[in-house]
Amino acid sequence: MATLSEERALFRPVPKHSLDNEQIKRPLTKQWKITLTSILKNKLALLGMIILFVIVVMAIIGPHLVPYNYSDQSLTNGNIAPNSQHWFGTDDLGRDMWSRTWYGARISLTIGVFAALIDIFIGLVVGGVSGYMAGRGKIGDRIDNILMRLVEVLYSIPYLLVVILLLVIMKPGLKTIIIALSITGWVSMARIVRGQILQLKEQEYVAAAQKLGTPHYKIILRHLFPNMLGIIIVNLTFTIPNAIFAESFLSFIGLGVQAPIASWGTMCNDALGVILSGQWWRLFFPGFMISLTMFAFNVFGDGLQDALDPHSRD
Amino acid sequence: MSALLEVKDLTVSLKSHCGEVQAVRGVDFVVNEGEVLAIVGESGCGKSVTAQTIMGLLPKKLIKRQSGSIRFQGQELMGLSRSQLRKYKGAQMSMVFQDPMTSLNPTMKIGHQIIEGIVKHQKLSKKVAKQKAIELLHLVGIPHPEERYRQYPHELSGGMRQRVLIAIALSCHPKLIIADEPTTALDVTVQAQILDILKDLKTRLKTSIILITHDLGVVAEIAQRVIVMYAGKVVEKGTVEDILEHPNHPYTKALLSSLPRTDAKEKIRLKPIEGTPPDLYSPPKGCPFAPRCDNAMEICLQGMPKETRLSDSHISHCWLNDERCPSLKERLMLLNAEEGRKQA
Amino acid sequence: MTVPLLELKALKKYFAIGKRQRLKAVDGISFSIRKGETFGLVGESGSGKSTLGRTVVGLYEPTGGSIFYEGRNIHTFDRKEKREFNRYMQMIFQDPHASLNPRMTVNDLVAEGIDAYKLAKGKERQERIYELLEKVGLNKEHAKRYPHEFSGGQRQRIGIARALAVNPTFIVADEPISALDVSIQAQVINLMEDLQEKEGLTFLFIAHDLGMVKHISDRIGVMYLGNMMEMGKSEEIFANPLHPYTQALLSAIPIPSVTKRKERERILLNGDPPSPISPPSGCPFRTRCRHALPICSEIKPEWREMDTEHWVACHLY
Repeated sequence: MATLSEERALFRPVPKHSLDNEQIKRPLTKQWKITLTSILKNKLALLGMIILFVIVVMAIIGPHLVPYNYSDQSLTNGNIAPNSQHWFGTDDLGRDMWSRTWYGARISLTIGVFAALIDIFIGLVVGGVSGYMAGRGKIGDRIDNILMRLVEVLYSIPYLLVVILLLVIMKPGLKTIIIALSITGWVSMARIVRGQILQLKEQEYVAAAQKLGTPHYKIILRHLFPNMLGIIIVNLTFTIPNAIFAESFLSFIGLGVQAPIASWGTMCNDALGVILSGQWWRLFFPGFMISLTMFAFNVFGDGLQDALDPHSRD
Repeated sequence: MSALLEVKDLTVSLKSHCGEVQAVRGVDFVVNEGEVLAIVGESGCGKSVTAQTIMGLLPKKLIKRQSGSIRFQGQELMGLSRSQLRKYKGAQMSMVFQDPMTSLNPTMKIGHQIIEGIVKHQKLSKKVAKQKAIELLHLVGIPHPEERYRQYPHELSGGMRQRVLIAIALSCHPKLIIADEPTTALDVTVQAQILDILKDLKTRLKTSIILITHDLGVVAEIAQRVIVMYAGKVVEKGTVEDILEHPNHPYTKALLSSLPRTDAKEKIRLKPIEGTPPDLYSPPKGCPFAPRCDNAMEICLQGMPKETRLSDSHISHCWLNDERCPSLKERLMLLNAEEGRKQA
Repeated sequence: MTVPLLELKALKKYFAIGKRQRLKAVDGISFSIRKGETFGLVGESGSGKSTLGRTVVGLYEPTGGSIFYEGRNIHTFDRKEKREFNRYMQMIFQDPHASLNPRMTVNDLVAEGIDAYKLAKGKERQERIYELLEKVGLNKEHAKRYPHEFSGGQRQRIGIARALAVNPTFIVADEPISALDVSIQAQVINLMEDLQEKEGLTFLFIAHDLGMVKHISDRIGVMYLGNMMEMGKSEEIFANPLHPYTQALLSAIPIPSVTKRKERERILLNGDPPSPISPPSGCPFRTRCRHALPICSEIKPEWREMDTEHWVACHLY
């Protein structure tokens, strides 16, 4: 039983200002941490992430793990099946497949990433201007219309034709193929960006920025683009594998990088002639790598999309 | 009048990306037949989560912990499987949601959405179901119900859509309707119409209604009994006269005095409740209202107040009601002494 | 007589819907607002009050009519004056979730206007930001956090700090408290009243909650379908509403008292508000008015001053 003084102490009033009633108790959680945790929970996306990480690491160090170079020829050692010396076997010129596969990874990934980045950049500019200008009086609408008609025209032309045309005009090579892929690929990004901007433009914080005197370019850069980051990143994870596949395909039909530079596509092309003679390792390794990379990017992209979706946060 | 719904010690905590949020912390209440119970509280107090738990609508993966008892017509609902709950959901209990824009399927005709439930639960033919649907539309005051039957949600106004939601909720003759802020998104004149319909339904069909709202005016308009929730707990409950005319808990009193009165004669400064409700991610161990309460005492910070029975109908949870609590005068003296001491 | 701070003459704002139809959101509104007063604008959805607010503040270009600021037609402003005018007229928005860029810290949000108009730099700039946060009841600690970490009421206060940062003279508050909890609404209202006194601000307070409007406004205007139906001093409108719509609106307000409720006469409007794309001929309210006369469908009622400063547009008078 509490004594009288203890009781009085219990019922002593507490002045209000000593109590903090505006406190934010939750720890400061950064956006990327939330995204990361969400991805880590998604096993498939995590798998994709790990695979990509491994591929990139191997692309860098893979060729150094063996004493052979990607272009060293050794005609006597041609077409050896995978063994303890040549882990992936050799091709008909005696070149080590392991080295070539990881070297090819560098080429394919480089092309894929650069082409995708250029796509996104052009798409952002075109889609951004188009979306922002729409509805801003007659001039704005006209700009929007012109850009969108351009987009539609380019979209309707089979990209392959454009790429082949460009490759015929310019000399085939690494730079050329990147340019060729970028010129056609930005179109879908532009559409997505425009759609996002049209939607985000109506947000009240954009109206507030206008009232606060923020110049147009800053509104686009500071208010619109950062809120589209999620979509952009996710799109990147789908554009890259598409570019890799496109390059592989073009190399496969002979319009890609030229020897001695090897990409997975060219390696598949080289392997065509010998499939029927049972030299499976020639086609298997590059082909499998293409599929694996695309798979990894796609599931990672899916997981990223879910993770960045603000609706799943609360 | 027997109890239709009895909720005892309901506790629900949810998962969030920074941990566990204790949304509902030991809630008790009772709903009788043919009455309207209002659950009053502001955002974050747990009223919506309570309603969704009763209806079994909370997504399983969000729930971290759930305990307590929910008895409907004597049948325990807590712990039932989804398929068993479904038996009660459509047939005996139904829900009317807040936002009529997003609660209706924009690609289905109104009539179709109403008869969906009828056909499924009552196993009637489409023709008979259509007849019932048109009767229901008439019941909720929609003019030209045969025409409206064939329309899509976007062809109707907000008030109409809310009425359609009520019609859908009524379609299986439930004993209990839970209406979660049914008029918050509506204009004041439309709100008056909807409240009238709900009152009418209660009298004519003897349906019980749990009305979740933050608007004390709406409570005065339609409720018989009220429970006031704050930070996941019930702080006061009683009849509507008890709560509105003789409020006991400081939160209830503060809520009433923060409202502007259109019937007031002169302009008096509004008395807001300073601060914000506690984050239920780390709820305080004492009374959750203490940091914002004018009458906070030491004991309020240390533990939850016990239940005080003020009358047959009126219950409040506040340390001020404890017999050992000093009188107002004494408290003021102590408070001044405290302030003096702090300044010295 | 002093020149009013803001005057609207026959202001119209129409939106084109498709090729042929027009949504007449604001259809000829004239009134003025004096410096230092709070003008409350009420109306239900479709009344055009939000559109009017945005047109007044400069977010929309008027389709017709004119706006006068301190006696001068804003159309005649040169570029510099237009920019200054843009700064003087600020807005507080309804949705505390959508009015703050979720990717910016509170510090950046409040600083945006200061930076755009180059009002302060360096240390002075940061101090000004802290000062503004304190003015609205927040503190320095809050500056580094992101909007989603705050409650609705706190976010609204950040929005107010942001608007104040550029030293405006006129603030349009578009339903600033509708999305907030009841006990928090009073906080924001008191804050606005305090700031008005301290900073000498003029408010256009748009809302559909008549209780709050009556409390904070000096004068009130009632809108219906793009037209002003009645206007006058706050107490006058509530004590003696002339227009049938105003009467119905007032009778529909729920009162949180069981006893007071029983004393009031209830006027129930039938039907729904008509669409602003094809408003009724003559008086727009005639389809729901219990006193509708034949003349109401033919001629639009005149905007007339019935009593000192009490204006109505209705054929009954």
